[in-house]
Amino acid sequence: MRTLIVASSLIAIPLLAAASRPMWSAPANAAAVLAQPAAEGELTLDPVHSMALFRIQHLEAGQFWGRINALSGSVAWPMDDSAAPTIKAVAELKNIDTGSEKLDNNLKGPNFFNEREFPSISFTSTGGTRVTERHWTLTGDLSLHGVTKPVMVDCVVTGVGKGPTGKKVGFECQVTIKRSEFGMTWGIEKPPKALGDEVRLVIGLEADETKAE
Amino acid sequence: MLPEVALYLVKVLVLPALLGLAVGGFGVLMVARRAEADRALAVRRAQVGQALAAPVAFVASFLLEVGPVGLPPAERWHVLPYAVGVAALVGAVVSRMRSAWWVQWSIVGLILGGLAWKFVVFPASNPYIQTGLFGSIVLVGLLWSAVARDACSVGMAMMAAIVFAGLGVLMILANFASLGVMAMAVAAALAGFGMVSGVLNLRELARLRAAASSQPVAVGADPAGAACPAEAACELVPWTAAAATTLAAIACVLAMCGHAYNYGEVRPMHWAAILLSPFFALLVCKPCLRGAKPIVGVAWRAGLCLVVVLTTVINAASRGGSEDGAAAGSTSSDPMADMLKESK
Repeated sequence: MRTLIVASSLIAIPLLAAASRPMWSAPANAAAVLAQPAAEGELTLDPVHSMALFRIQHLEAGQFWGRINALSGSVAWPMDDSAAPTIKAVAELKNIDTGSEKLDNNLKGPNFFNEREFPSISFTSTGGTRVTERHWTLTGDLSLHGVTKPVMVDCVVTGVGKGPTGKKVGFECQVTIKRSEFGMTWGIEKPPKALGDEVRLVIGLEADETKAE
Repeated sequence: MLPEVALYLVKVLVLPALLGLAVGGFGVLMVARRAEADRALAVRRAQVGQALAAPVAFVASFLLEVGPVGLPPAERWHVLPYAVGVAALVGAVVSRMRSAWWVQWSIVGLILGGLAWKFVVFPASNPYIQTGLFGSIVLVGLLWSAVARDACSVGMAMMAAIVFAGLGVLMILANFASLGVMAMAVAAALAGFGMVSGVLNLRELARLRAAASSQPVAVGADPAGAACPAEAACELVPWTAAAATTLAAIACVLAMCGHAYNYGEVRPMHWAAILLSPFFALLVCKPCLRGAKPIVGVAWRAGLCLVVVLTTVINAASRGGSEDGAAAGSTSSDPMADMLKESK
């Protein structure tokens, strides 16, 4: 009997190892859809110069800032500012960057973003109202942590310049959300007051006329 | 901050552990209070409680930490309370069956393995991983059933507590603190259950020895040895294979979940080593323990298990290093660890 058990245990080791094969093959995500070549007149986001900064209160004390690099997507905006920009932006959570790899991993984990199940955050604007010249309040849908909610984003056209391949347009957008509304509750009450509920997002976008390859 | 953190830990760790302990320990207490000839039914009831103790602690901790979850769950790991609830039900029902240990093991192992294969699917899983989960539940269940038969009830509970505590630490290292706390709640419930069983078993041993010493002793006989020839002989409520397999299944599912969401330096072999650590309890030479105090057997078995778990946890922790935490000038990246450090 004991021999049988010992033998079975030895068989269990490779089985457990097989069961624990790497599971992090990246699932298909929205970025692939949104990073398609831009239509005529559309601007394509330059991932190198597009990022989202997020701010959250830590232990009821400091405001902690992190960023998500390499945003992708597209912007449609008439250069004469005759209409609100239409923005489709995707932030891949694998590009989260807080300056600490450990903290990055913690944020990607299931207590926060759950990157394995919800690999990206996306914003798609659906309309906008003018505030002043080149300053718009955009309405749109923000998808985060598997939940999509309408939000209002303050968006400023920061400038129109010229790059080596054509015109470049800069945008700076800001929005404050309550993460609990998106099902991200860890650290608000349990554990108590570890992290705030309100998250301020500042999104810097740079889009150019050149079509994506 | 301290009272709030302490309150949080009481809520998600201590309360669920006490609840699990109450469910498991009550039955053993009832057995101890009954006369020896009148215990059969009480023992079977206590064995149901034994199978329910750990699942109750886990589900209570989950509900207090995460809150109620819908069906289908919004996140895949939220399937855990349902999975553990079903495991508890199957374990409790089969524990009441009067059948051989291998029948109990095979029924519970196959049912829970099959259900996990079909319904407990974590991110990026595939048929190989699901088959591995099924096989792990069946084989680790066999190992734990064998340990439950071989060791006394206290030793089994302590080894299981060590395993769940080890899994909890690995989960925290994998950046899955909330699941780590839940595993710790299970560990605390099992450790408490082991201690309650131990105290009651020792009282029973003392009673048997007193009764034996009042009887006329045959020439050459050892009264204490006759009353309790081995560590497991005086236990009030022996572990059933169904309860042991249920515990093993829960441990396998938690380990798989921790691995599926692993964002740390925890490697597959770390999870496997902790799940299989009770194997070393089987290496304890049973004849060597004959006549020894019950606590010696428990200490040897639990001690060997603890050495394996500690070694594994230290190895996993050392892989993570502290390079970027030091670079960023922070002491920890984990808000919970920060708070615990502050509260000291």
